[in-house]
Amino acid sequence: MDLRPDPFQAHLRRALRVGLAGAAARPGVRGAPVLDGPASPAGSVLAELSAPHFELPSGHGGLELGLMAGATVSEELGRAACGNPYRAQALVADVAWSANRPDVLDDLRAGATVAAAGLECLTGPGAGVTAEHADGGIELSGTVTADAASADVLAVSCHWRDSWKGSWKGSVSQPVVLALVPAGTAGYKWLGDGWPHAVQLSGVVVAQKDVIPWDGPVLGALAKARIRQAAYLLGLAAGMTEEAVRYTGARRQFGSKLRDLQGVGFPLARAVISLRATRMLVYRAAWLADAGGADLPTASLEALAAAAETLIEIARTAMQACGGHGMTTELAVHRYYRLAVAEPYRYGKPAELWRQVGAARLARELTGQKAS
Amino acid sequence: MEFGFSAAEEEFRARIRGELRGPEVRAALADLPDDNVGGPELRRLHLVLGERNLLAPHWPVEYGGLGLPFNLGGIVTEELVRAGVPETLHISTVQIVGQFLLVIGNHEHKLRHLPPIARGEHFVSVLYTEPDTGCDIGSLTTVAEPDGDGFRLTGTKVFSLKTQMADYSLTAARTGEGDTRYAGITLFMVDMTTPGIRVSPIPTIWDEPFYRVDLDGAFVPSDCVLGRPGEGWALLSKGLPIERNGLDYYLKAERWFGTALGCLAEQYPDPGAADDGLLELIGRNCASLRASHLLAWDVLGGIKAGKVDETAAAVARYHAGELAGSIARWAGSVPTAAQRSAGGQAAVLEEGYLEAPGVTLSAGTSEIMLQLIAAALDRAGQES
Repeated sequence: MDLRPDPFQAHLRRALRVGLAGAAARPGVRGAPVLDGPASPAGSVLAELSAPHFELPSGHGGLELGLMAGATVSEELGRAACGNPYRAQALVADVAWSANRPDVLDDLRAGATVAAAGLECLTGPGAGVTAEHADGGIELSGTVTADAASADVLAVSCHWRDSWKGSWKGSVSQPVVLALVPAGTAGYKWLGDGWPHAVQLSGVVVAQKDVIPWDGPVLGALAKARIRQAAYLLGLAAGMTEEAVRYTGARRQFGSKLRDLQGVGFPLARAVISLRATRMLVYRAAWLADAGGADLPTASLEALAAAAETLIEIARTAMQACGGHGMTTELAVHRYYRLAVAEPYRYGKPAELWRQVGAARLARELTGQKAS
Repeated sequence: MEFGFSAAEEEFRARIRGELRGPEVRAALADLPDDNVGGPELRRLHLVLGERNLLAPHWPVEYGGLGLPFNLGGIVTEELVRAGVPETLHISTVQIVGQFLLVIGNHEHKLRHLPPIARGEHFVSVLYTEPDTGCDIGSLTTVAEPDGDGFRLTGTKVFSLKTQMADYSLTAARTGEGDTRYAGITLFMVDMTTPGIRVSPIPTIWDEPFYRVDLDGAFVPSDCVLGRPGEGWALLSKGLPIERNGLDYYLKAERWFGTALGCLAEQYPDPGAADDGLLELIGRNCASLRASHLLAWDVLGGIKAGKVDETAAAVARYHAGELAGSIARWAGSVPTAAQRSAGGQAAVLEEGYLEAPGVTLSAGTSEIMLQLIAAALDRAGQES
């Protein structure tokens, strides 16, 4: 076991940090906290670094750097409080590769943009897009969150109508599909300019060839997507902590630095502990994805749920440490806070993720007892 | 980054497991009494382990080890605890004092103390805490007055573990005053058979008592001073991060969690019948255990590479201690009345619950760890 970052990973992180530091932030403290999709300033930084090609297979113009590189990209996007133009492209590339859709990979290489939507429905029942069989494909209806406000392709996760019966505990493989909806398809519309972005589908018909079940090898793509999102959340939490540490190191109250007061310093120390623990889970999961570890599905759930809860906890700690200044344009911490209202839940509620991990572990214990 | 153990490390682990499954080790383990007090049976077990080089194979050959890489010591610790070897003696003797001597001891001290420890012949207790001195070592009052070619130690030490079995103690005493409260502290390796030393138990809620040690002018020769007189605090600052890797507390947490799951598996033949809150708690603890294990190995890897990271050690120690305490408090409530009446697993969890307050106190409280991390916030991010 060697947990020191590889020299390449450290170099990549530095390059991303320099590039993303120059990405323009959305001004103001109201409205969307970031610019997403094709308009995202982070997108051009990533393009300059060839990041969209990092994880693509070499046969499709990619660099095959693996998920350790993808997780590093995701973490640095979060740390810089940028939107995330990387995750949807990487998700669809993985799905296309797993489902043997080279045409989709070629489109991505040619610059097609993607928005992912409806991933919150992957952990349990609730509002989402439902699918029904229709002539020549499936028909989709419902309203879900999306990670951009426009794109060439909408990759929407949806479940079959009336499929949400019985227990979901312990289920990693679920009866859901990913539908690739080209821009211009009749029946869907982006809902206003609020954030998080939302998209409404009303009887959208998708060809059967563009419907990919979330099962078999495609589940590996889902696990990797969860790990990228976990890394993004980790980055948001890390960036927010850095903002709070910086501010409380400069701000003086009661004759000392704010963070030297235990009431402020100890919560920040706990934030550091949570960050380090979460970082271990995230990069272990990424390493498993690259190494082909059998524990990948559970590792991805653990990483995502832990990162989500770490961000939720740190959002409170950091805002409290920064006081009223944190609620104004004076400090960037407000941007992280506003992102934290939606990002921890985008790929499912943490409690639902934990239930899957817990049920799988209890089932394993039972299997072990029966075997012995 | 490499998050798995290498083939060589796994091979070493398999060899250790094989040794621990041998008939002599199993017989020595089976002879241990149910309580956690310690006695001749525990001494016999350590001799059996020492004969097989299972206590400190990562120490240099000249000091009783096999010269194996430092990180393999972590694998030995994991397998000893998983095999059921009571960990207190191994922790205080090998992991804390032995490792401390390796870092700060001179050649003569190492030759004198380490080989008998590695053979399982000698045990060492740590005597820092006093009735009015907890984490604040700068306030200790035990004095060591010069007397000929040595010192006479007078004072009282409390809350040590397994001290009735200790052949030596690592004792902190004040040999003088200085500019700060930390000046004038000196560390001694004290022969516990020295006249003037009285050891008496302090009953606790747990099945393992604390010990009180009264030093009444006990003579300690000068060659038992570690470093130079008055240098104790500086030495402690070097040594403490090495003992604070959190692996010991992670292993306690792992044992209590696994035992609780065993009880739950009996209660829920259908995992789907378990309530949502319980499943969430199990899921969270699974992930926290994994993180704790990795944080401990991050520290061990740093030490192997010659880089002792005080912040990483404090993070690992805090995380593992808090997790172990949290799991023990929960796990104590898991067994049903029928499981309690059967003893076995339930008894382990009952003792774990009673031990829990200690896991966030010993070897530096959680609050001390937070203080260390808070003091290093500027460089504590560790993302690259």
